[in-house]
Amino acid sequence: MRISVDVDRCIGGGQCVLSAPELFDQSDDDGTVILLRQPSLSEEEDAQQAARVCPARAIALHDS
Amino acid sequence: MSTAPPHVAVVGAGVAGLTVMQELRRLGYAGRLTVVGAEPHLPYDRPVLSKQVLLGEWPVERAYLTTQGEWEALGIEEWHTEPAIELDAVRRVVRLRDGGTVEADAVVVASGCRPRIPGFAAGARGVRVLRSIDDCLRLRDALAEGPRVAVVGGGFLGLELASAARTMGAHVELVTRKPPLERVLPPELSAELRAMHEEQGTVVHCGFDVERLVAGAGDVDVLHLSNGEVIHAELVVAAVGVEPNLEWLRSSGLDISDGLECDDGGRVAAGIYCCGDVAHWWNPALGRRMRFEHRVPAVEQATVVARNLLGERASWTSLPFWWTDQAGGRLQGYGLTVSELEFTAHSGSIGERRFVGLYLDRGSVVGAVGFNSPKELRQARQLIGNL
Repeated sequence: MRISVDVDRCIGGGQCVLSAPELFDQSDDDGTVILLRQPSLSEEEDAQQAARVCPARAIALHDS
Repeated sequence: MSTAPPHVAVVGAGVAGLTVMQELRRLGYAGRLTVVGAEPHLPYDRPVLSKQVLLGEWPVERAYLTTQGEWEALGIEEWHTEPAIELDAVRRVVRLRDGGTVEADAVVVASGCRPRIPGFAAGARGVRVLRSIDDCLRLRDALAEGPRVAVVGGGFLGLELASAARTMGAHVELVTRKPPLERVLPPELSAELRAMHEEQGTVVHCGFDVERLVAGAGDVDVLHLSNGEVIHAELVVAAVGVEPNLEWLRSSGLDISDGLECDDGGRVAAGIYCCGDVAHWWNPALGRRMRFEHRVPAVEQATVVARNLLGERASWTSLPFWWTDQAGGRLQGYGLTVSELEFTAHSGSIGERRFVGLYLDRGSVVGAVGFNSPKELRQARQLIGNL
């Protein structure tokens, strides 16, 4: 699985960090999403949760 | 999966109704799905209708929550675009305005809200509201003409509308009975938000009602305020709150006195569930029953309802989250954010427009608000007690 984030959509809600702190952070400035790295197999469920709860639909998951 | 109802009817095709159906399929539900919407559109997102789409920054297509292909892949057996008008909660039969009926094993009530129409709009020509995607596009076109705009209402939507109209170059007058976001923000934060709107060029008339709206010369409407002031506008937009769409449940015997009453899993009665704006949801973590008109709670509740439809005992107890972008500022909240609670500063300063504050109830933190401080707010979230 590969994650892509759309900073233009992001509203800085931080829901992704709550779901998958190992994969996402927020910028100190405006709180928009920072993708830390791509998920390992065991982190894919967290990534799915993050994509699902994102209020701006700024996180997309792709088959790699 | 053995307890899954063979046929689920979802009343409401907004983000809550759609999420229930998407989650059911994702969790392996292979039964029949019927959806009763009230519009001939694929499900769309509402927060962007008062922001990017209204401003013309995004094409309207970006507001849709699914593509045609994703919608078809849900395998919905019947998609009705006429609203429900009655529910037999015992037999689980939904009657539709076009005369049709839907008989299901489980019914999900996700019928959302509609704008409240203020009294002064009666008989007046063209008071606009913003709720649907069609409302948004009509408003966007009208704003492009560069009119004088009067926005009535100082809540989330009214303030976002005023901000968007100013950004598009309109002359904007905001009429609000109470200070901006008065139900949510403490007075000093509300005052700073008002200052930001005034810096953006909006004229704020705070503390007054619109008493009368009469047609003036040409396309101009004349608003008479309760303090005797008079405002001229070519475009009048009312954003004075919403009403839950629950009239169709009047004869059902269900409790709709303040939204539709449900437990912590969205259960209303045997085979009846609800989620989204209409749900008066028991939140054990906050120790109270609450109705939210925000997007994130709607999605989280819908996820819980999908699990419970499949026989789980899931509960929505997470902290409700909301956000708003207006007048160049970003406000976000977690938990219980109501201004009658005790309020204390946590970090930053209101004057510097970077601030996090906490709401307290009998000494414990129950909510937090962030002003241009998304990351600090998320970090402060963990201070909210026992949640």
